[in-house]
Amino acid sequence: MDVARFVLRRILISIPVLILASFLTFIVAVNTGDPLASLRTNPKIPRAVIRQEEIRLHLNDSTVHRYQIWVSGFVHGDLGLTVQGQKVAPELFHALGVTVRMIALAALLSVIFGVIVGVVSAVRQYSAVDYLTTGASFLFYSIPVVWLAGLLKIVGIKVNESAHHTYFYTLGETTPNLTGGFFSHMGTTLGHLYLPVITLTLIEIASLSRYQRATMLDVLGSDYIRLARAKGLSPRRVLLRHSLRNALIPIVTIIALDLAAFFNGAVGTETVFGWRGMGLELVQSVRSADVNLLLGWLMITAVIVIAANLVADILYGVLDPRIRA
Amino acid sequence: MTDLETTLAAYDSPGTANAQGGIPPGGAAGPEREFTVRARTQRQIVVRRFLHHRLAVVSLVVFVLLIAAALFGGHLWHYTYRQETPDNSVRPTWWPYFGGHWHWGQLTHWKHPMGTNELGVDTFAQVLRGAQKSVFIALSVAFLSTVVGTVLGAISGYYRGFVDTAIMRLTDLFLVFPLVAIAGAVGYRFTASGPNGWVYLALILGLLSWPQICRVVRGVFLSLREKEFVDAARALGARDRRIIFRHLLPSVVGPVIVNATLTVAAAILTETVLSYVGLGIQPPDTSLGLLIQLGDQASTDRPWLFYFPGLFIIVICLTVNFIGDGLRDAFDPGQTRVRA
Repeated sequence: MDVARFVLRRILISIPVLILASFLTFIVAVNTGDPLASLRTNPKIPRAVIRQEEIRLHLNDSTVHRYQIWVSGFVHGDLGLTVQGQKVAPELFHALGVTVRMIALAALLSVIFGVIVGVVSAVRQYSAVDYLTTGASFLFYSIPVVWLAGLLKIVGIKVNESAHHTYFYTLGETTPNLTGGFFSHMGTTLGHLYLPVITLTLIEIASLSRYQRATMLDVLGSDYIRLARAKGLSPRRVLLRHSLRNALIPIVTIIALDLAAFFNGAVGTETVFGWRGMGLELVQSVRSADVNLLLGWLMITAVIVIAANLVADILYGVLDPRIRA
Repeated sequence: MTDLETTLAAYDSPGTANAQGGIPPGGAAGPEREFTVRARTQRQIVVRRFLHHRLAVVSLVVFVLLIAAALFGGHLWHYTYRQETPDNSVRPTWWPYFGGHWHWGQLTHWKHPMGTNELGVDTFAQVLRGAQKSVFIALSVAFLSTVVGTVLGAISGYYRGFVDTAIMRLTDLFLVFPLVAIAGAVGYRFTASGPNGWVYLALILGLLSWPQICRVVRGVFLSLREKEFVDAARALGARDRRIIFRHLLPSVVGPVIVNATLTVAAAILTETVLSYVGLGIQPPDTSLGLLIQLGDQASTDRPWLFYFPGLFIIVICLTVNFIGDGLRDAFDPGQTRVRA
């Protein structure tokens, strides 16, 4: 069981990284600020209440002790309570569900379009199409994600106004107080998704298509493609079976590596469109100095990114037999 | 033809080299030689190749102008970024189309080229001020991450072993977290604490964005340390420090400079997101990201407040990316496009 051993080894490597990461971010999180700052400045709140809160949040304990408390909860799957006293895990997983809906769709679309754009511009190198897509990818590579999101929001509102129908929802991830079943919501759910997903997709296509173009050019210039052509295979067969299949492999790794970048983009996009997802949780946890919430956030994204890289490595091994040896 | 090919062609036919102005340094009095090609240093070759990249050169000029505007423009412009003028909520004064008609005469009106906000503060002055902060941050981040990344990458690639493993695990760690999240979490306490928040933000972003450059430098060092010229240097008694600085570091100058350029663009974009979501530069101060956020809130009534800071960022990042592209071609002849 080669794959199993490989996976096991990779997981064992990731564990110390995660432990170190959690400890470092814990130190950072503990020092980000005082969660009771608003209580302390409020003269109406008696000192006894503040002292009680300090004890509940372990504010006077040492960092190491607080970390021990957090870790002992974490290994049991308990991410602790927020400053307000809600459970962190359900809150974060709900937010994650909201964000993943956006990220997954954007990743899927950007892979499809990124590959197509990259392959076409490689096959038609130095054609008008190539220059156009290169220019566009430079442009989207240079656009701040929040600005693009804001621009699409303006455009979406204009379209809605001129069509007298709300095609694009620009606020929130769902419309509150909807009645009816899942399928009757499909339209509005999609309406909320369009603009954020388009934002993330456009920005991601820019870098993916560049990578894909470079890989495809490498493959097209390689000896085995020359051989395939020399054998007299049809150009179509050379392109689809010999070039494309090989040129698609690296994209697996790149999309996994870009996952952290997706979260970066999602934080901005969600804030622009007022989604109650991971972006909002992050901002709130930092602003209210909520250690458990922030640490839970960082751990969940870290585990996702590590897992995605692991899957990418396994897939790479499956797709490219040279790696397995 | 690329510069390299010109040089090669010149070797084949000495006559053309003379025709292109390749006069030997000794002049006519010099000894008669078979090859009359002027020797060029690596730097001259790179500069010449960069200058052949027209888009990159134009970008460099625009970029330098923008940086100059960002750094000094605020002092020259006739409004300051906090001055409330009597003209509140004015659209960009030169924009010729409004009220359903074209007013071509407006093109000569440059009092508020980017309009004003609801208090009458000139947006152009604000954008200049915001750009100053964003550019400061971006340049410091690029400098800091380049220095840290190059040093750690060189150590890692040259000494290998335990140090290498430790540094590589560290880069793994950094790449696992979304930069916006970790920079926001670490930086918020400092950025929210006082007027010098941007210094801390630059410091934190710089200390968080070195892993990529570190990996690049390490990769080059790993392959080069096995080469014969390193063995030769060692056999001649060169110490590690001399080998690293004199023999190996010059080889990574190209990738490092290209990477540093791209870091400038990435830092500006990261700062924008951070300030937009409220974890970066805080309100009494201003930056391009914060201006976008303020503009976005009013984008139905005063869209110009939203458009211009973003356009400024796009132009800066575009020029930076084009310069990076030009530098990559200039340093790496293998990637140079064959131009007819």
